[in-house]
Amino acid sequence: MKFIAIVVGLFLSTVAQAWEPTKPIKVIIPSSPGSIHDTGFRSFQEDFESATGAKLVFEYRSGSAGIIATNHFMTLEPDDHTLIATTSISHVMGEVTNPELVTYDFLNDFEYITGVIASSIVIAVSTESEINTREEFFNWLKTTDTPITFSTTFPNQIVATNLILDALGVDEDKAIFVKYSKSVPAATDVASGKVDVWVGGVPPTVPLYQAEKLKYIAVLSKEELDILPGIPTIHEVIPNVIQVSTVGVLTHKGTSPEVLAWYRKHINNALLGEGAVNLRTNRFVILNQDALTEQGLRDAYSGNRKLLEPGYREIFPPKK
Amino acid sequence: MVENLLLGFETATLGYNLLYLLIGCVLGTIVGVIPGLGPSTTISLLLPATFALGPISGLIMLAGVYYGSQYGGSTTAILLNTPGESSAVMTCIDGHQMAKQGRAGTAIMTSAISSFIAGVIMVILMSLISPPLADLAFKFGPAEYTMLMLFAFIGVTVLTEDDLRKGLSTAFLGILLGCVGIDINSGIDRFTFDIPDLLDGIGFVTVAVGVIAFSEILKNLDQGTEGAISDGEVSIVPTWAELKRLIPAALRGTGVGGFLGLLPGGGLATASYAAYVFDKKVSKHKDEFGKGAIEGVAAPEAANNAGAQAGFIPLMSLGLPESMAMALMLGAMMVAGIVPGPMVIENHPDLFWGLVVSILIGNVILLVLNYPLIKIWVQLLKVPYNVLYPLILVCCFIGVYGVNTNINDLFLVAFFAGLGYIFYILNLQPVTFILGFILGPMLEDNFRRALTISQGDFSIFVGSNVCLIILTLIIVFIGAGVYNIFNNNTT
Repeated sequence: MKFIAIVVGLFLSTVAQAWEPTKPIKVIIPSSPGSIHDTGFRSFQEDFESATGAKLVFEYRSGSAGIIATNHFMTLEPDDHTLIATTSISHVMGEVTNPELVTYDFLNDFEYITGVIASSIVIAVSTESEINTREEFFNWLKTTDTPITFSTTFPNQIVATNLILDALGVDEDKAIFVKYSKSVPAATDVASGKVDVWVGGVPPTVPLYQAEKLKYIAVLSKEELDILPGIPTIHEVIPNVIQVSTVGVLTHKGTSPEVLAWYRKHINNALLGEGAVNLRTNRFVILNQDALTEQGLRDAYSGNRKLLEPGYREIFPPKK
Repeated sequence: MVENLLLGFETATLGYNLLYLLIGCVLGTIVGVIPGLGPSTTISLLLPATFALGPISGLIMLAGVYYGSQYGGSTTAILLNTPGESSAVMTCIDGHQMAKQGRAGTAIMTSAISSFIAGVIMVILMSLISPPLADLAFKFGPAEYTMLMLFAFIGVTVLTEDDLRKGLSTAFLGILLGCVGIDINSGIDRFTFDIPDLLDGIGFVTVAVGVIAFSEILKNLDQGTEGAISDGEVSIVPTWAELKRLIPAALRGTGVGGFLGLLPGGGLATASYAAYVFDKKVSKHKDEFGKGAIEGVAAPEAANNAGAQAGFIPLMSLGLPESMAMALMLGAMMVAGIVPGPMVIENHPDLFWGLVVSILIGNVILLVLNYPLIKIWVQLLKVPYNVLYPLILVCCFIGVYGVNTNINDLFLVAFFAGLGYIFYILNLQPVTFILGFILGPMLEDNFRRALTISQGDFSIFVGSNVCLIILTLIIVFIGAGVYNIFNNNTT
């Protein structure tokens, strides 16, 4: 009897863990084709599909920094075959910037699967600039009489810059934020010297750095990037300034642990494939191992929210 | 140089690369024909395949899709007054008139020949002076773009045939609707009525399809059109006299489109519009523009193909993608382990020169491909209109929905269809409306950005050589216009 119970128990446990997708897996991308979300998933798509036999089908729902896509995701029936790509910047800040439009609670309405890629914010200037080091940059901020122009494409960059200025005791009015909707003209204007400082993601600056049009001053990750040797962190001097945007994979709340475990295993394996490694190497993105867990991803998102919310409240005061 | 080109030929003419190039060109043509379905969607669908093909073959195929779509986009513009691509909007004006006159085949062939001329010239430029051309991108900042957009607005006066007030009215209406969405500078949403789908503004495809394509259908229904658009014989090959007009217009369009295509903020729609306006201004047959002038097809078509291919210069030399399709190709290269930039020519000469030569071969393929296809396309003109227009409606709806997979876009396109019909009733030109819609937000963004950089100092708009050159051109154009008015009044 005991033997039969053990055999039945083993059989049932095997069946319970043996989840496999039965149809194509839909991935909601909250931006347009070619974006960092899209490219990030494309980088491991082939390895993932070869290993699992499951097809990834991408549905693009760009707009409103991910609010449209996430609202749409919330209307879909949980079916174990629908995922959404989000970032720790836009996804979590929707509740702060447009609370009247958001239909979700980023912490409680999702199951966090894993992080896919992460990109540090970086400070760069034109190669024609006289600023060469982090210390010279800080000194310049403190001593110059003329306002300094910063190119930005997203509010988190403004918040990060203001945190640096606050820490240095520099009047925030000294910073003039030149806002762009696209990163290419923003980076080009810094490279040509029309705007003084780039505060933004690493990927758009890589080719300009290689063309010797831009030089890096500092990174806003917690540690130095292996692929940018010698470029110091801001965190080293100003501990509360860390700005890393993590792209994560989420799914519906209530998805079973077996399904989540399946996705974690196969996505993390695929992220070690050639395509994903090439992307990380060539676009200077880091993959924090901690983010490759549910808790790590959740912490990354919560940490960003905690750091950025006060600054966002200044930029987006609650509507009356 | 010769060695590089030989390497390029050796790479591009490998059997499988030629096959992928052919596939890309054919797919691009098909995609370009279908209104609203742009090359970006097709390229994103093909991306997984390119990983298996390898970076060179993959890029050759994707590039074929991209510039092939420019060839295809003019077909429906000419036959049905429905732009397949945003860059084909200007082709609608004279192209469709030519179709109505039984010259549809000539119009499509004009488009193919002009695109071919532009393609060959751009390949030569890419081979010879890619890096210096790429550096042009750094000469243009917010102030320069502002002046460029101001210059472009002068084109409204060129496009408006009878009453300038009508042209300006629709242009300003376009500017107003272009303001819908979140203002990048203040973060405030404008005219969104708390509708999330409007936070990022109204899509160009939605506007163009509604105002031009759907309103054309409404207009024809209003006129009781039931029979075919053109029943008679359709000419295909341009006559020698037409060729003598076509070639100079194509060369001018290539110059304009190639220049604007190099700039990250240029845009293919802007390139084709600028080429049309410029040609109308300088042509000896300016009275024929809007009534089936061959230059009215040749110039914008050369410009959009030149612009499409010029986009590869900043992409390969500096890693700067000027459009979504380019961004996809950039991502594909990154995943394949190739970083576009100044080192790509040195580290991956087979990729760079193979791509350059494949563009040349691709243009030949497209020219040859289009000739037999014309005979098939023009049969559409013989289909009774009451059978044709539901098909057009379905294709357009699919194209519009495919952009964002958002059902609300279909309601928006219906709104713009109504607006386009009102334009027709009031004898207003939809093209000036679309110009305002495209150029208005670009002008505002760059103007405010320039003033942010200069902290309110207007001298930034005359602070560079580029600004001064454009300002001079503006003064010359306005002066010429005033002189013409004065001259006409005195005679």
